[in-house]
Amino acid sequence: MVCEKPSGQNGSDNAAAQPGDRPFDSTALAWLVGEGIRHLHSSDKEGELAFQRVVELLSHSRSSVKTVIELSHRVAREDVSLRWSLIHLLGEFGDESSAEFLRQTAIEQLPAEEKRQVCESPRDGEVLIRTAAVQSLVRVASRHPAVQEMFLHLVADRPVRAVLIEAVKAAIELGLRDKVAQLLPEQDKWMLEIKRVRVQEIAADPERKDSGERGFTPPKSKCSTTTPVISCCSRTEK
Amino acid sequence: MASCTYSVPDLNASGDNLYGPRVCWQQFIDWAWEAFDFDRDDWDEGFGYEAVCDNTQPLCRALAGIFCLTYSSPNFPRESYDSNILEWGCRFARNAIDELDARCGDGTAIASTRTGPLIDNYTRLFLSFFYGQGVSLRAGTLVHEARHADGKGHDSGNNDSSWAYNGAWRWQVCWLAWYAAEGVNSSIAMREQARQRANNIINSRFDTHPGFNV
Repeated sequence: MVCEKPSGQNGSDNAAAQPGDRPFDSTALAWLVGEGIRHLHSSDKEGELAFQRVVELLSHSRSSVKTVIELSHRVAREDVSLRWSLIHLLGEFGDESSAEFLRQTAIEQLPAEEKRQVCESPRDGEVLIRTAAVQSLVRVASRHPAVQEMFLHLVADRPVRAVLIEAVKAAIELGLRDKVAQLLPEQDKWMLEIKRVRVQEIAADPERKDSGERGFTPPKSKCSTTTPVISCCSRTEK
Repeated sequence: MASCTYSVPDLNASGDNLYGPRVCWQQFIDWAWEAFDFDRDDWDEGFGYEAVCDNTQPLCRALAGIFCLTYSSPNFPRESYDSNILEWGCRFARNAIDELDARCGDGTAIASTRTGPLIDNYTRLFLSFFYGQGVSLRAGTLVHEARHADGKGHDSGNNDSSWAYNGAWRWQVCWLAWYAAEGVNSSIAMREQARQRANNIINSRFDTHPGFNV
């Protein structure tokens, strides 16, 4: 994404698309990875089953991990969702040969934090990639105990707090609590006590009651229509 | 006026191939256009006004976020404030956000909201909102900005001081966490991404860590 001139306070902007890359066209294995990504993002049982089948097929090839890592290097840095998906796929494989790549991804230096008054920034996408790498590494380590030591190195590397906490949680999950406790400085030992809560235990207080304005009520979803329709939304996925 | 260029990321991985066809529904577009007060001048010139069903363009991708925010609760069309934020998030957002505009931005922020008495109030979505986030994260950003549009800013720089402050970060975490747990018509990947993003916010955006993850 390139901005030739930042947006001002007044007037609208104009934007233009540039042609994108087609990373899954390079080899048959890359194509199969692309199919895996497609099914990973489907919303029905059929798609979930297809995803499992693709993972099974890819797991039979010794080159799959290498292909996914090559694709990770090839895709545009800005395509956070695709990079995240490729990392997630490596977790599904659970192959030991992906461990070093995942560790390197988790500790890769982040862009500098924005000092100005901004809430979310593209840096948050980069943090998401790194925490996803930690989560995939946990899945690898759960199958290959030799990888578990990597979490101690991760903690010792002192990544940014969000990544560090994921590494601490992972190490505890893998039974390394005592070793991690030794690595953490006194002021960070509270990380060992972070609980995982059920969603029912958290809430945002809307500070208002139902009697207030409801505004424009959204149309009922097409899926909730019971009369016959000429086309149904459940089959529109490609 | 600023000019900008973008490359379109993978449409499967961002969820735009899942949500794009859902958005292409005139009744929904008519409703969202009014409810979030879109204006043509803010969404033409390459931002998608002329091709609202084109999921490579900003308008369709913003509508995908709104669709996700609107229809992900298993209790829809109920929108009670007595329930969880997945249920009432859209109701709150459409009432709090004064108008929704598209801009190039300068590459630093994903979105911003200006609010106050006697000034033009608006929420602006920048290129990284459309092309740097999957659909469920866009919906989470809309909840965050809606909290600002309601007049609640951050009380510690770009952070909230605590969970008890009940600010935009808490609201975003709650929406993402509920979506991850109970969101309907979604994908496993989109829900997992939402859960991870929620934890990243909990772990980095509160001066006093709340002591839990989801």
